[in-house]
Amino acid sequence: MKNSSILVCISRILFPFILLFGFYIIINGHVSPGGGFQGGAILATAILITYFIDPERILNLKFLINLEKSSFIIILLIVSLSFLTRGVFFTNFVPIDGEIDIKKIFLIALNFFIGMKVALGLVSVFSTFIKEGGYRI
Amino acid sequence: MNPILSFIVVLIGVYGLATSKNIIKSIICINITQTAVVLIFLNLGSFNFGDIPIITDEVIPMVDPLPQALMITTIIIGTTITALALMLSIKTFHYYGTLDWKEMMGRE
Amino acid sequence: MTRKIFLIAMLTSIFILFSASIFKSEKYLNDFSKSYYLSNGFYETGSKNIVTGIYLDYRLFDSIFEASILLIVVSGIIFISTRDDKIL
Repeated sequence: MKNSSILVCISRILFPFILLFGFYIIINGHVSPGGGFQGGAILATAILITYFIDPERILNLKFLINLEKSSFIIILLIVSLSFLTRGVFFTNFVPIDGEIDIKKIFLIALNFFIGMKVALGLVSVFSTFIKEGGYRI
Repeated sequence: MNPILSFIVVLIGVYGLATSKNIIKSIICINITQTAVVLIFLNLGSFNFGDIPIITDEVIPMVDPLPQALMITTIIIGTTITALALMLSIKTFHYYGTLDWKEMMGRE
Repeated sequence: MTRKIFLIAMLTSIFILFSASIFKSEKYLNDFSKSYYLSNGFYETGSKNIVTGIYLDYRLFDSIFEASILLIVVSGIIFISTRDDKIL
């Protein structure tokens, strides 16, 4: 099945801007409205709009799942770092009276990996549905 | 007064869940109920009005940030529940050949 | 027909109970946690957006297990979709 050429053209124009907006929401999650989960959903729409451009192309599901697993393990490692510095799990690894500018490193890194994980999860869910439907959109 | 108006939407979702005959309509009713629960929590969090909870230079009244942080979790889990229910309904359609609850009961 | 009448009666009674509880609890609402988060949140977490500060520092346990739920559901969907249709 072939999409109309207007839809394909507009999707090609919109794709980099949606990608840029998603990364902006994720990186600025600690000073403006937004964060990892919301930005991850926007990134997933940016990747899914490529199905409008080329409906025959199916993303590699095994690769996506492996990336998602590894980003979850990275999240667990970042979170467990605070056991070495503060003695408790699941908090910031900078001490509570430390510099605010250093505390932002933890927030930005965790927002980035959570956003990547949510985006990959939603993309793999939708790719599974498209594959189940037999390569038709 | 606002949480009561949101609770009417919960009742609409429960009524649809009890009376609908199609699987897809049942999934939509689950989504309606979940959205209404999100509305109730946000209303209870902002019962005295204010601005969004972002620290700026001047001091202004702000809403409660805790229900908003909890509702982010709820939205993602609702998405996953919808995806799982839709995939199970696809498999059910392939097995029984119908999406109607009543016909499915008779076919066994 | 009687089923629908019973259903509407049940929903009406639930609605009356809920609105009565909301009217009762209006005077017990307080903002201790809200004032704590708004006054100390920026210095303890380093985030100007207090919502991000809550779900990445105070309640990080919640966010991590939510991410794990997403991973488990994606694995389950892919597992279900690769099964044969005859088995269900």
